[in-house]
Amino acid sequence: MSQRSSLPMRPWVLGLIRAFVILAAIATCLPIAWARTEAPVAKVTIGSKNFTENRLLAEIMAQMIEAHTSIEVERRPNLGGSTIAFTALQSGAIDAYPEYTGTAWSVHLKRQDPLRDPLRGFIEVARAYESRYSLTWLAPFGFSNSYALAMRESSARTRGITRISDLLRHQDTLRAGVSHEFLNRSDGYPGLATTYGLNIADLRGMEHGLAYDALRDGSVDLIDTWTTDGKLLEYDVRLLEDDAHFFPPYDAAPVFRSDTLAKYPEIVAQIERLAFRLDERKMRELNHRVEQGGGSFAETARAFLAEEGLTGGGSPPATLDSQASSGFWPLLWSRRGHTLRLSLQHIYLVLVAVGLATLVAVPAGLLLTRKPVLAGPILGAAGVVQTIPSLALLAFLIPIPGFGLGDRSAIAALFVYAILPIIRNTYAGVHAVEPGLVDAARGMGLSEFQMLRHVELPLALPTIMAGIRTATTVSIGVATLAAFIGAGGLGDPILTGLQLSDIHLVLSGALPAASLALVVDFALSRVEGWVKPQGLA
Amino acid sequence: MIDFVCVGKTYRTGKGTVVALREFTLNIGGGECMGLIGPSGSGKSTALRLVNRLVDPTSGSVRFEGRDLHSHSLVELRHKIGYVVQDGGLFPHLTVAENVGLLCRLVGQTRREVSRRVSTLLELVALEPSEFAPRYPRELSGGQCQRVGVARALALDPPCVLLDEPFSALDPLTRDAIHGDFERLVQTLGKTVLLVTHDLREAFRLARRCALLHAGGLMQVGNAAAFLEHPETPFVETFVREGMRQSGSAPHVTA
Repeated sequence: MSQRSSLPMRPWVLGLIRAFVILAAIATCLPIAWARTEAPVAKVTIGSKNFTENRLLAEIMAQMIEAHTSIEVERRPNLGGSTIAFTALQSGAIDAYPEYTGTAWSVHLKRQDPLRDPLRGFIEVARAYESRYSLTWLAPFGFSNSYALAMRESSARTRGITRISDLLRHQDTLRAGVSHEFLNRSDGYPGLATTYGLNIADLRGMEHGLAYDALRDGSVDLIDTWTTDGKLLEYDVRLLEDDAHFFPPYDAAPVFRSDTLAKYPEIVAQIERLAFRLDERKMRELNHRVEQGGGSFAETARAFLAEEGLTGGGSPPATLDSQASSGFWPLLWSRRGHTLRLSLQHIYLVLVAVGLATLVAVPAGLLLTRKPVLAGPILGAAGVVQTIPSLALLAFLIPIPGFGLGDRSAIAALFVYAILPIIRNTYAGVHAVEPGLVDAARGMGLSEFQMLRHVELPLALPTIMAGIRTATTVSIGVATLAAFIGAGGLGDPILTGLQLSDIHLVLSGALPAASLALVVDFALSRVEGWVKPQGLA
Repeated sequence: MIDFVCVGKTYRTGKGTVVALREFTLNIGGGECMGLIGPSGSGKSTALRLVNRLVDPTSGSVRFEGRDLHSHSLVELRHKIGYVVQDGGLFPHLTVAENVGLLCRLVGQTRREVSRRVSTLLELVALEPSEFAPRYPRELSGGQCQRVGVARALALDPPCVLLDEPFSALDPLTRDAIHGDFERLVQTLGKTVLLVTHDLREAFRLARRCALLHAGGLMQVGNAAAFLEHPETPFVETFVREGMRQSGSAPHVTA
């Protein structure tokens, strides 16, 4: 750059901007480079939903394939709710995950008529999946994980409640805390309410991982749960009888992409060896074992396969989830390497997303100051995008070619959220430059570009930087949701900890994430001070 | 040098159109200092801003060096016309030297040329370069800001300078000192100067001729003696009488 144009902006400010642009560009290229290094080996990807049982079943499927075939298995645990897992399977981001007939019936096939007969349900669901989505249901595992309602044993006894229909007499005084999915699914609370004529006054959605503790300490009286939930072995709760037979059967079975099975037919035989090996009691016990820290998912799955005589030769890689936690600080210390890796992953996601957002939003904000007619509609649109719930946005991104499960979808979602604060602050910052100065600059004979570069941009820089700071801090929080789509980050231990009701594990992700947000916020507030032009008081 | 030929300017506002200038004709010769005076809202600022095309006329035309403004390249035109606004209009993030030297740098002068030019200009407006060059505008008094503003306007040695109420925010003593310096400056440099002010004494002291505007129309053109001794209309007479009595603040005149 010629020396004549470098005078009015401090050289190091330019240097900072250049360094940032280069960093963002490098960060953008990294995932592309990584994607290219994958070797073409026989490999399938097994996904799971974000709860213990589903994840354990997926692990069992994975180990069966690893033990008895030469196919490599990639694991994608913790895929948000049913919708994200199903979308991932449909789009080919994963090849299989364990699903339940009742869920398929009402959520994915959107059947309104009640499902009563388990066998008929399985056959109809399998047929519809094959013809409609080219997805194949293999033989069921042998248990039905049905929805159930549970109360504290003591409070159920006092009120004399044994059946769901008994709730009608107490619906004005009961406090119910149910999972968000149950709250909205037609085979959950809405259908239940219609069938029984139930209308619970105090009903709220809560994370299922917290529900039992809320039930025990009395903050809620009624929760939804599953018939195979391992916690049933641990808490003194009463399952209410479904006397109107509302809850349909939820037989668990492996669902595969049909093209994957056509490519690797040996999988079918191995997976079908798992058929009817698990009943509800056994499943409850396995779930309990994992949740109590009696073994990791991998260890528990291996032990189960050994008990059933299904163990092969290979030993699956050890995983770091679910450790017997003897206290928070020892846990945090023992996970330090892991936490560091997750933090770096977290920072990487945020850095790329905010870097890209800056590259797009700053020029866009400057453009808006030149075409003020566009400002209203564009800032409005960015504001609307901001209100899309993060999980919905992720579910929307997964099927788009090139995104899928993992980093790119997570980065795209973070990018979308980072746009608004940056574009708005750029626009506001330039707009706030005193009209007299703009007038003087124009009257002196500065071109539009020179005016932007030498007058408006330097004066708006602190405001723009404040927007980038907001976007970064918000992104660090939102990035914990990246774990839902297998992009890792500090959300991983939070999610696993919630499934296992391991508050220490939750904190081992939440605490570093919060610290990261605080440190980055402080650092960027310093940068904000530095970019402030020297002449301003 | 500058010719207004039957210029009309109307602004569109939310409430309709406002006439800022009507059939305004005025010739300013090369090297002449012309004062534009009148009550606020009379159109004198609009007339000034027409010259460097911050506004364009609705009808009629403005000529610079004998050619219509639109036949000049906009940037070149503005480089030939220095512009000083009220309070100096200095860029707060740039030092005095950077403010004064900005245009020189942008037209491609070397660092050495620029710093020499900045020193010359600061001396011209009676500011010691070594002391003032590294300061930021917030470290200057109002009078010093104005002097830097004038120096900046002279950076490319333009043949013409526009001043929009340049000294009105200064206290009387400072104003008196800067008036003296400015008078000498104008005489030495031989620039064509167009000075907008509501201060009659200032106009009569600095400008050889003055043009009095009222409600967008030209009332009278002439030197101080003509305004004081031969006002052409009762409005001019009242305006001059009130203006001379309360010099420094805007004359209150009802037409």
